[in-house]
Amino acid sequence: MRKILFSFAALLCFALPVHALDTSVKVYDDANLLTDYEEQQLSIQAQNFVDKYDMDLVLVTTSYNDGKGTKAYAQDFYDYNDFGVGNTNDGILFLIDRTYGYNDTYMVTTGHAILVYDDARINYILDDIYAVRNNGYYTMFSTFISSSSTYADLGVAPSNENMYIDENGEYREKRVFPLFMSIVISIIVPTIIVIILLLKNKMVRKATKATAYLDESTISYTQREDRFITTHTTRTYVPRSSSGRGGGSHGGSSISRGSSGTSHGGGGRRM
Amino acid sequence: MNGTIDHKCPNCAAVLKFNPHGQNWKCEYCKSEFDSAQIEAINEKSGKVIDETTEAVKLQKDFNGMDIYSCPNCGAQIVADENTTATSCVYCKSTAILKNKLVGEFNPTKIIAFHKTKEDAISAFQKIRKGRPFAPKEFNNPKNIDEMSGIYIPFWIYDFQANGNLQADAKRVNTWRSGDYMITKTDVYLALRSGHMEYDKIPVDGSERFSNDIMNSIEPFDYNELVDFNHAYLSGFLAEKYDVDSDKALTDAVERVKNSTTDVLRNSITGYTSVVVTSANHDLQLTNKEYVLLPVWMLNIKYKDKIYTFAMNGQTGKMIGDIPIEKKKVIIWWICLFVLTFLVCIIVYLIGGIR
Repeated sequence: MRKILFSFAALLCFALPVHALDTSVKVYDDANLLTDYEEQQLSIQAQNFVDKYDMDLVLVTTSYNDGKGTKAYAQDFYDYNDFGVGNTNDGILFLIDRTYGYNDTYMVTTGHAILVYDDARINYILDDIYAVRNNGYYTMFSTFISSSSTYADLGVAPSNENMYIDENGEYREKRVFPLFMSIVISIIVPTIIVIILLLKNKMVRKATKATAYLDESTISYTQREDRFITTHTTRTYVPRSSSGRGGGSHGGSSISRGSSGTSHGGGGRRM
Repeated sequence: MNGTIDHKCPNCAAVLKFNPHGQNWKCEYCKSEFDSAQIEAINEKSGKVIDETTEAVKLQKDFNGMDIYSCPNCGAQIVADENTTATSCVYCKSTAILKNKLVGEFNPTKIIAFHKTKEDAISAFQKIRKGRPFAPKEFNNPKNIDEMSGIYIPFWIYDFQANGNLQADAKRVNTWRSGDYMITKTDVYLALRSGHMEYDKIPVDGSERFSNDIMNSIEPFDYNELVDFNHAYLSGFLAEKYDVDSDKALTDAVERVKNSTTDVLRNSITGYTSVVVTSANHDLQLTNKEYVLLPVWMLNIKYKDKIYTFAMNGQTGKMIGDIPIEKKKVIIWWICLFVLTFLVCIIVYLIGGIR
């Protein structure tokens, strides 16, 4: 009986991803925006990208996003169809969603790709695509691939220098024990405490004030005047976008979790 | 009258001693107790008798700076230096008040009586290591007390009226952001202050023998308990007369009043980022001075062949003195604290506090 149950469960497991696709196919033109030839060309470019950067690249068009919204549709498409390279499903996906009658685009990053494409780079890629939005869908997709390649060549974005992707694909901060800082604190704090305790042994002090003997009620002022003399103003150039790790989450990649639970970076725009 | 006086119990003629806890006089033999009004009455009634019966002739004067008296009680010789006004006979332990030194300008106007006994001083000394981990362990052992005496120390107390003028450069700095620029605006003011204030009863130690710093450190005394001087308070204690005259002692008080007056005026300049006093002058008027005796327990502590002086305010019980520091303890503490702090850093890091 148990054996039967087990095999039934096993069958279910295999049966579940009903929509599972052949992940070696990189172009899904469900909205029929591309010609077969264009699809072929994009497939080749996508495959080159995958081979070169060890990250998946998926191009999708749809005319109906299942009512999920563009972003969730893009994320789910990637997650539920098991795209991605390696344990953390590294890769990027670009969707053009025609559900609302517009070109709603969305770029999803997953795994290592989250580090390469920070929010700023995603915006630059979307800018590049936006610039060619009137040149047809093929150009938009092809621009996506070439622009993404440019940044993949640059590797991890500087804003993500202190971040890493853990074994579950989560975007995390690299933490290094601040040894020097800790030693400095560990020297200063005990020194202050010891000085305070040392001073407790010194109780004899010359009195220099007579404040204890002042009758506060007798204080009266015959002059109490603050004369304004001058004012001066200086301006120092301090750029607002303070580089470095100032705000922690400033720069870097914004993360959202899809319905599958996987963390993604990404960004989109109506074009 | 080159004599010593003592106060005798009207009931049994034994010596009456001042009792700090009861703030009265107690006869150690018949246990009779007398309050200050009664003592006053006894004094007046028997003032003449005291002079006659307890007259202790000053035998020698200024012998190596020492005066020699004969004890009114047993006739033994009492040696006292020229500043001592109350002492005790080394043989019969009875108090000898050297009255001839408490006349004229050396007659104090007021006194604060002892509130703390010798036992109080010892127990305060035993507690002195509390909260002071660097004190040697054996230091506050009462057996280290080399010498302990309850002394009425001569103090000058001064009242002042002070007028002060003060000039200061005051700056107010505001900083804000405007686009990509930080704007810093500095407003400069000239602050002028003139004020009047009064100070009451600033004490200055009038005895060369006791360090001014120590006497400063046991301040303050509660002047509400300042009463008219009466010889009877001295019984059972030592007393000194002043050897630092009023004019000399005054300079210390003047310095303190000037500093405090400047402080008051300076602190009335508020609302600025920085205030720098450029000039301050004072006009002080001494409105009253008094010569008083204030109660102090002096403890000399002998530790590792060195003498450390401690003093306790005989009224409030505040005990002060510099305690030796054991270097080994300091080093051990520092190392332990270093390790502890470092561990805290590691824990904070592991919890996720430090980026």
